[in-house]
Amino acid sequence: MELKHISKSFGAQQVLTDISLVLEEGHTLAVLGKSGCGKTTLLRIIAGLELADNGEIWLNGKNMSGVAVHKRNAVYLNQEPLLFPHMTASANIAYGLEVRGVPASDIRRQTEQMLAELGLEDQGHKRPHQLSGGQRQRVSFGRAMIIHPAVLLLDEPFGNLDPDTRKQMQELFMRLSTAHRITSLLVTHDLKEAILTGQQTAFMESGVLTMYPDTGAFLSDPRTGGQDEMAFWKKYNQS
Amino acid sequence: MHRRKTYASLVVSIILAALPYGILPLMSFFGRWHFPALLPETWTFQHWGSFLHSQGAVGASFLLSLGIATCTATLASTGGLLLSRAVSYSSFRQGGLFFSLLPVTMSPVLFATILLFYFQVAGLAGTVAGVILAQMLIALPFAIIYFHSFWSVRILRLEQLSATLGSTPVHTYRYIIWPVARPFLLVCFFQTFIISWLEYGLTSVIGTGQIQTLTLKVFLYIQESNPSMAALSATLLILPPAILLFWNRRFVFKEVSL
Amino acid sequence: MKAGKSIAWIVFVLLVILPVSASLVYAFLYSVGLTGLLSDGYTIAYWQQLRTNSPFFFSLLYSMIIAVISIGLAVCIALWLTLRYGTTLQRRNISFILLLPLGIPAVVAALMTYQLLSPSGWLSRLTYAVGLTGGPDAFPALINDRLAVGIIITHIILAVPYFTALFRNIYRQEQGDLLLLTARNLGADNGQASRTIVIPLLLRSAFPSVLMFLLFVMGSYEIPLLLGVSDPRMLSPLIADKMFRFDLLDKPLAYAMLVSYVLLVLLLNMLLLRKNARHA
Repeated sequence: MELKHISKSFGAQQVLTDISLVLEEGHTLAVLGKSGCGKTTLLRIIAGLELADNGEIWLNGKNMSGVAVHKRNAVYLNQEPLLFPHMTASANIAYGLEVRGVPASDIRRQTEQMLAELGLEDQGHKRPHQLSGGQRQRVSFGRAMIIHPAVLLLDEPFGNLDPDTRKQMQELFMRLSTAHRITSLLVTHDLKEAILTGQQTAFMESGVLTMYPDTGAFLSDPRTGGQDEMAFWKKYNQS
Repeated sequence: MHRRKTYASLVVSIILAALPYGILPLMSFFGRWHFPALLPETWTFQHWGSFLHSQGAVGASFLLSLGIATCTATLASTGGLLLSRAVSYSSFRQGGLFFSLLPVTMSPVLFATILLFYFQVAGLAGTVAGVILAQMLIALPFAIIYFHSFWSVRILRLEQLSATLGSTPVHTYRYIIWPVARPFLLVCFFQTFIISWLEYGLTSVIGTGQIQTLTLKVFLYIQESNPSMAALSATLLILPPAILLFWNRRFVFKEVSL
Repeated sequence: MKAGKSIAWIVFVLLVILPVSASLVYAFLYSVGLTGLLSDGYTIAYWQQLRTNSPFFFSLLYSMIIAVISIGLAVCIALWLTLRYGTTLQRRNISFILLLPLGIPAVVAALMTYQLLSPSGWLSRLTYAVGLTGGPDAFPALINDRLAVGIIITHIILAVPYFTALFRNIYRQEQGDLLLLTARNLGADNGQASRTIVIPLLLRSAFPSVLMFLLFVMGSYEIPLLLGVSDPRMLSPLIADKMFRFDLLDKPLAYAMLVSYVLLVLLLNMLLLRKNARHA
């Protein structure tokens, strides 16, 4: 995925300013940023849910300008799993494949495989209201990854989970995205999550994106809070 | 002693609520009933006989009311679902709700009075089509307000998610939105059916007294001091809503939220 | 999609905005003498008549008082039922019976009240049978009376089921049981907890519905038509009577009353929307 000079304003308020980045296939770019920095707007623009004022979006070598949302193959996920309430877990996972006209036998096979990878082999027949929060989030991931999107856009996907479930979901995400070579852009306000999940890291503030060559450079930037975090644990350890 | 006292007011409430469903059917069999007799001197099946007779006026009114209510409810609930989406997702949402609220909160007879001139000019006054259209002008805004709570941010996000998963708008509506909307549509249909079925003032004004729905028949028999026929018409009027209420008692209360 | 949205807005304007706006314009023009069979050119005479020499404002006051008494009592009864019998009301059969009046039209409710409370009605026959009254003339006027007793009773019977269901819903959604427990935990007795926590909570949340019902009762037609008197009259029968009487000279005044009524409803609707937005 490549973004070239993306800008966006809502009325007088400039939300994104000249955003450019290159994301290699199969990699995850973790973007750290506080609420209101423009990260949700950026993801929605890539998905086609908002229009940029300027700039270009390239996915798999194709310019996405003017391409409809349902043709971009850029899946947008946020904190809420948003499972289709009238469908079972299996049907939710299979949805993207059905829409693409994949043969029924292949859908069945791939869905069962995905359920197994998600650790939900015996939950496929259940409706969303019968699943726990963590299980619903897993189904949401499975539904997105089974169609091998050109890019997976994650907007603080683990934000409303408890610490243990959050850790499990981070590990699941990294496992699945590596296994299926999914290109992902994950935005978070959690420093640790950004470091754990991203092969590439970036920081966003007031609509301006800063990319870093490695984790060391990311942590060295005082804006990321990495230095403060390390100083805190060092002091705590000494005492 | 305390337990009996405790439930007395509830029992009274239950009796009062169920009273019309007992008294009205009973009264429809009254023959001669002069003061001060507590019960009628004679009982008769004559009134029900005339209703069941194919040329009976009450029977014709019953069928007419059924037809008008079904038409109105179908058009209002489906139209309301679609129009409400446009209103709820626009920046003019509050304005849309404001305009939708007036026909719903106005007295129906006065609403009809204010519309009558245009209906007369269009040749719709005194016609069934005119009555259906006039009832639609109340039922449709009602449905728009009703569905306003359905078209939430959550539904919008479902639509958008479905699009990012590769679904066309038509596919999204058919397989995602429609199944979720169906129970709401059903409740709205029943509510708009009841609005139309029970309507009197607007129907009598726009219908110029010629469109004799069941509510008009009740009024007519009251004015003619024919309590038994009024009771029969009233019984026919209140039974369908009671049946609908029974079927829908799961959803029986959903506050219309703005 | 964009075409669909445009079509939806066109239909909305045609079926929701246009009918009322166009009708209001016509009504106003009629009331200032600019249109109508007997129009003589622009005049504010009818609006002056409305202000100084018409029953409109008294009728408005009369309607408001009836509405406030009816809905006030209905709300009190509904609160009583909700707080006293909360769990029992959740039983499906009982809640179904209590909600039956929701399916009764105003004209039937008026018929019931007439049959029960008229001088030749059931209550009168009962009191005669036990020797309390000497005939229909001795029975107190509970319908077609200036105090609007029959009108108020009928509106109460129609409104109580609605408010009972509403309060029950709000109580459940706001976890009324837990709130009561918390208040008692902090030292309040049952009565205090109900008075200071639950009742204010229910009334605040239900306020938009209360306002809407007040509008419905104020604009009531069939019930005051059957159970009311000719003077004073509630708003709807008054305006309808002036509009459809044979005397065409009454029409401009009737339209002036109609426009005033609509403006009042618009004002109360704005309040309703604002209150509802706050509670959302």
